[in-house]
Amino acid sequence: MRRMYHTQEKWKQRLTEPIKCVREDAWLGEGYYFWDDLEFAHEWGRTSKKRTGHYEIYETEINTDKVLDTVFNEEHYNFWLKQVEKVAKIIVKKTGLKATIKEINEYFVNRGDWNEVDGIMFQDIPQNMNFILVEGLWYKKRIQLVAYKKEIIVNFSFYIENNC
Amino acid sequence: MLDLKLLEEKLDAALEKETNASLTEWLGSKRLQSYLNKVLSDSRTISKQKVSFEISTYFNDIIVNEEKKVVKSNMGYDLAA
Repeated sequence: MRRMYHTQEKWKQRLTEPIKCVREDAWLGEGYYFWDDLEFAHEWGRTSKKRTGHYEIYETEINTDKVLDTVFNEEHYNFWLKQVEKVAKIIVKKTGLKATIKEINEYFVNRGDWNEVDGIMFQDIPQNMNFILVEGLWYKKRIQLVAYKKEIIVNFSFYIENNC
Repeated sequence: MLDLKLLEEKLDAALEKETNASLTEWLGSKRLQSYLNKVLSDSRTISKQKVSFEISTYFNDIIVNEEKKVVKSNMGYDLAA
């Protein structure tokens, strides 16, 4: 189980479950998104959950038994990398178009029939220098998990609210 | 625990079956859906001209004609003149 954080705008009612992201720019596909690091959960609230002027962070535990962990599991990372490049190359070859990471992930789930995969944990690099204490060295991973199945999300509860 | 070997086998089987047309159609449908979701707000109408223009920047003529049929028949959007 992994403790993670979910950020949303503050609404009238507190959430009792996470909200599924169906945005077109949901980079790992449709699913429930969580942050590994509370600092990034706050940053997301300040920068992207501003509609009501306040954001809330919820904490939860995620059952990661069937999550593809491309961050800390070397076997999973190498496997995922191989499949991403395989699909990406074939899409370019057969369509002349370069797929986005969202389209690649959707291919895995929809065409590749990866029903066993409960989610994917992935990292990128923070763009905000405020998180970095060493000049010019992006040493901190910005880790997210997208859960495709709600049943792996347990003990979802309110953690903190803040102004944007 | 995930069975990575099984996942790879399933993916390889899916890729084996793909043709240029099937993959282009799949990708095209995804992008058309994304585009329409973006441009349509509360209104359920959009000009044919705007749709054609935008689609033609991504897809070849075959896909444009096929997706127009899909849009008209399945997605409930009125293609206003």
